[in-house]
Amino acid sequence: MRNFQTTVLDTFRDVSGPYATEPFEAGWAQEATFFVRVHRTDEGTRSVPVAVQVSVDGLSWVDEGTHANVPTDRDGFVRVRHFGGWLRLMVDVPPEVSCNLSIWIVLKE
Amino acid sequence: MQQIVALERAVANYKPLKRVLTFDDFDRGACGWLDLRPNFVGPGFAPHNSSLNHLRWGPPMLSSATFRFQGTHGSLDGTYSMKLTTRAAAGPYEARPAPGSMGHLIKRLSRPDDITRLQFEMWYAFKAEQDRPGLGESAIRAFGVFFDIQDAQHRYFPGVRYVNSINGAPHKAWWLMKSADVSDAEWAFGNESDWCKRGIDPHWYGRRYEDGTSDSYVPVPGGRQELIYNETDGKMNWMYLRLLLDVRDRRYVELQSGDQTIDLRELAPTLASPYERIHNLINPVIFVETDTDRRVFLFVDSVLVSVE
Repeated sequence: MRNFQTTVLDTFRDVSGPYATEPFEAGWAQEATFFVRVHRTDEGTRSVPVAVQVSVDGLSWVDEGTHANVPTDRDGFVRVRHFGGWLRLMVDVPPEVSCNLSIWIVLKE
Repeated sequence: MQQIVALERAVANYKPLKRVLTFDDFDRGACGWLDLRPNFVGPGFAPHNSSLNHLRWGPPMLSSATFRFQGTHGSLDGTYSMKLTTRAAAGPYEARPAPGSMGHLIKRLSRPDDITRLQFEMWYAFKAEQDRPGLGESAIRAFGVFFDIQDAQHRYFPGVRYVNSINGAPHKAWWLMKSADVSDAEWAFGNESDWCKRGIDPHWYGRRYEDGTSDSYVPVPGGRQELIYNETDGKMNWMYLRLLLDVRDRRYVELQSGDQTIDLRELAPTLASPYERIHNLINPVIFVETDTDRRVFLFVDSVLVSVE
């Protein structure tokens, strides 16, 4: 059996402007998926840009290259492999927009 | 019946009672330990009424203990430990715990038999995030362990915490969970209808005072102790902790931290009324708390819970 782990990184969090999830160690996993659920946002905001970042030490971060516009009317996700030891998700909400969202990281060995 | 028992070599690092309820080496995965999160039972899945924000604690994770300048430490007996984390946020010591200032780990068990004694053991290390020059030692306010226990008459929280730093000043002493004679509202920072009554969740509740005293802990007699932080924020040493309880008489028995063993038999935890739907619950919990705007970590290599 392969190890599996879902961790709730943020629950019902209000976000305006750029936001990064907490540094997360995922070195044991082969694959990772971030799920994003927008509970509430401004009328007219149809999607939110997100991007996966990687790090050698959990302190200094660079874009992994995977990004998406997650919809605000249903769950969205991005998935990565071959990411080394650390992961986080950048959520690039425009400063003039308010979002309330939850974010999960789903890891599989 | 003759039994032939082959124990994992790592168990030799422990001193279990007669029956091992759970031995969790985090090289095997999370082993049933997870983040301590609120009860999402209100309208719109809102948590219970609380004077604290329980949605922002730091997420625990399986860790290789990898540091900026040291690389990977691995664990006591392999690669992975369970890392409890805080966010980079703290209020003053004497304030109620700020959102994100603590991290927790819980495993949900139940009374396996008509037991009289219960013991918690772990190998662990604590460090600050290596995000700025310096030692980082004073960034770690406290860490601790406790059981959430309910029997036919009472719910109670026997446990200990090591207070490392108070508002940046070294403290370095063990404290025992035992509640002051305060009202439920005083316990919950003035909230008359908080879900947690006096004696419940003492790692969060109970007013705290600048000298290190609080409404939720009493000093462990002879409990001053220098734990190993090492000479930088990137080198860590694994340490041993053991807490022995009498669950028949609901009393403390003994605390062992490394080479120091302290008799606690004169002390008892605070007894609260039982809550619904958790009869015979036995939940071990581990926590860590930051003292400043810096993430701090408690690495747990393994945990052994035993009974007799």
